[in-house]
Amino acid sequence: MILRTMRTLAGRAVAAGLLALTFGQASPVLAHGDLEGADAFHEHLDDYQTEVQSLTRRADELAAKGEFDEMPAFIEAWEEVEVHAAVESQASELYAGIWQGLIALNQAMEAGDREAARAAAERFKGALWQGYGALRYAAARMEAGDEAASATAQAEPMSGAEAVAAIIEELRAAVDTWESGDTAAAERQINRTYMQRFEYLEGDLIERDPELVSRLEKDFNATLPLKLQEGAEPAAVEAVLDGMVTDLNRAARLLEAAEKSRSEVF
Amino acid sequence: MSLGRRRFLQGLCATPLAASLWPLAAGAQALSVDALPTLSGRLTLYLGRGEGGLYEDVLEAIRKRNPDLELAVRRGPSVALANTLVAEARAGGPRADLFWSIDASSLGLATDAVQPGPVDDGLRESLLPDFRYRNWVPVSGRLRALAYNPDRVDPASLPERVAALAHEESTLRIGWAPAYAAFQSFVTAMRLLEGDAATRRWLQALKPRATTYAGEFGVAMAVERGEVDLGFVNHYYVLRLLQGKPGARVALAFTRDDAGCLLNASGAAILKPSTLATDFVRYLLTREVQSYLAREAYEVPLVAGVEPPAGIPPLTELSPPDIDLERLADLRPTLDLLRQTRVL
Repeated sequence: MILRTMRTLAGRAVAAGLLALTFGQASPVLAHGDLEGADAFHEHLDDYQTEVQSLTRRADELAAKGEFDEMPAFIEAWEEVEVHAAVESQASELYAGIWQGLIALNQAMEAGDREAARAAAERFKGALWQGYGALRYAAARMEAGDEAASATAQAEPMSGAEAVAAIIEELRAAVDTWESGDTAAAERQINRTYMQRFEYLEGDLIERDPELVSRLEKDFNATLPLKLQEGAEPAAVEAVLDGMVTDLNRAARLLEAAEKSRSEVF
Repeated sequence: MSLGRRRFLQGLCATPLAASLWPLAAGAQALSVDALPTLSGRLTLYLGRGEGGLYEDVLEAIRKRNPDLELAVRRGPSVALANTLVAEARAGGPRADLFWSIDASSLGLATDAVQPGPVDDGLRESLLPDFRYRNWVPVSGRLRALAYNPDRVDPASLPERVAALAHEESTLRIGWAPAYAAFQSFVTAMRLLEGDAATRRWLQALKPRATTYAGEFGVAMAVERGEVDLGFVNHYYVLRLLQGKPGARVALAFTRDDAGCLLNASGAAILKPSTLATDFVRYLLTREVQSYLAREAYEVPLVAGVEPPAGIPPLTELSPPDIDLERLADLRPTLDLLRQTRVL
C-alpha cells in the first residue's frame, strides 16, 4: 500500500510561500482566493499546471545537483500544493504513482546514485503530468455533463465476479501499455488495479484459499512488474499474465460462492 | 435528556419494546433492529471503502427494511472523501448527510472542517464508554496484534509490551508492512504514547531483524510459513487465515496498555444533524449489524451485548491504550520517522 498523507488545513495557506522558499523564485499566483477545494478542481487547472511546472523543474534541479538535503523541503512542497489534493481526490488511481516516483527519487538521492535519481525524477515528472492530465480529462467530461467524471463519484458496487472481470481487463490493458513502450505507465496501471480492486476482495478470498491470495499478491507486487522492468520477452510476460488470469478466474468462482453463502444482516 | 433522545424514545412508545430501551442510559445491551423506527426520507451518504462488499450488504439490508428511505451513496477512498468534505465545507457546506469511513483519522478531518456539533447523547450512550466521541460515532473496531508461530515461539515468552521486542536479548525475527496504513497508525500511536525519541529507537532496534512485506496478510502468511517468528498485524488477518487454512501455524497475542494493542475503529459522522440521520446511525449500532460485522468481517463490536468474533478475547480481557483515535491523523511526523529510520 502506498504512503498517504493527510493534508492539514493550515498547510494550504503556506503553499505559495513554501514554493517560493523551495524554488527561490516568485511564488506562482494561486488564484483561488478563499479555497474552493478539490471538488471545484475544474476551475483551477491553470494553477495546477503552474504548480506542476514548478515541481517538475525542481525535480530536475535536485536530481542534476544531487541535493539530497533539499529533499525534505521538496516533499513538503509536493504535500502542500493544491494539485496534490485534486489528484488525490479526483484522479486517485494516479496518486500512488506520483508518490512512488518521489520515494524513488528520495532513495536514489540518498544513495548518491545520480543516474537512478535522474530516472526517478523522470518517473515522478511523468506521473505528475499524468495526474494533471487526468484532471483536465475529468474537467472536460464534467463540462460535457458527465457526472461520473468525478473520481469520487463511483459507480454502483460490483459483485466479486464483476470485479475480477474488471481486474483481468485492466491487467491486459497494462500489458498492452507496456508493449507500446511505456513501462512506467503499465506499472502504475497494475498498482492501481491492485490497490483499487483486488485489495477489497482479499477478505473473502483469504478465508477460502489463502495460498491463492498469496500467489496473486506476489504476482501483482513483484512477479509481473519485475518482468516489465526487466524488458522480458512478451511471451514470458504473457505467461505470467495467463497464470494470474487462471488464479483470478478461480477467485471469481470462490467469490460467487462466498456471496451466496453470506448470512443475512437482519 | 437531549431533544434528540427524547424524540427517539417518543417515537418508540407505541412499540412494545420501548420499555427495554431505558437501560440504554446505563450502557445496557445493544438494541435489536426491531426496536428502531422505520426510516423515511432522503439521505446522502459518503462511504469510505473498507471491508469489500460487507458495508454495502449492510446498506442494502437497511434499504430493504426501509422502502421509504432514499439513500444516495457516493463511494471512494476514505482519504479522498474526507478531502472532498473539507473542500465542500470551505465552499459553503457538506453535500453529504453522513460519512461512514473505515478509519477515525479521516472522520476527524471531516468533522474538524464541517463542525457538525455533538452527537446525540442517546446515540453516544449506545456505545461502550471508551468509544463515546463527541463528533462522530465509532461503528466497529480492529485490534493491533502480534501474529506468532507457535512452533517457533513459546507464547509464555511473548512480552506484555512491544517495547520489550527492541531489547538486546530479543532475537525474534519480525515481519512488518510499514507502507500499510494500519501499521502507520500503530507507529503514530506509539509516538503519541511513548514519544518520538523512544519510537525512533524502537524502529532502529527492530529494523535489523525485520522483513518488510507489502501488506499485513503477507505478514501473517510469513509467520505461518516460518519466514519470521512474529509479525505486527490487524487481528482479522490471522482469523481469516485460520478460517481458510485450519491448523495454520499462526496464532494471535495481545500486548497490554501500549500501541501494540491499539483498538482502531471505523465510524460514522453525522454531518447534517437530523432525526433521520441519527436514526440511520442507530441501525449501524444494532446487535444485528454489529453481529454481522463481527461474523463476516471479524470486526470488534463496540456496543454491549454482542460477542466479539471467535478467536479474540472479550474486550474486558484486553487492555488497549487510552488514546483519542482522532489524534492518529497526525501522520506526517510518522512518515518522516519511518523514512528517516529507513524502515520505509
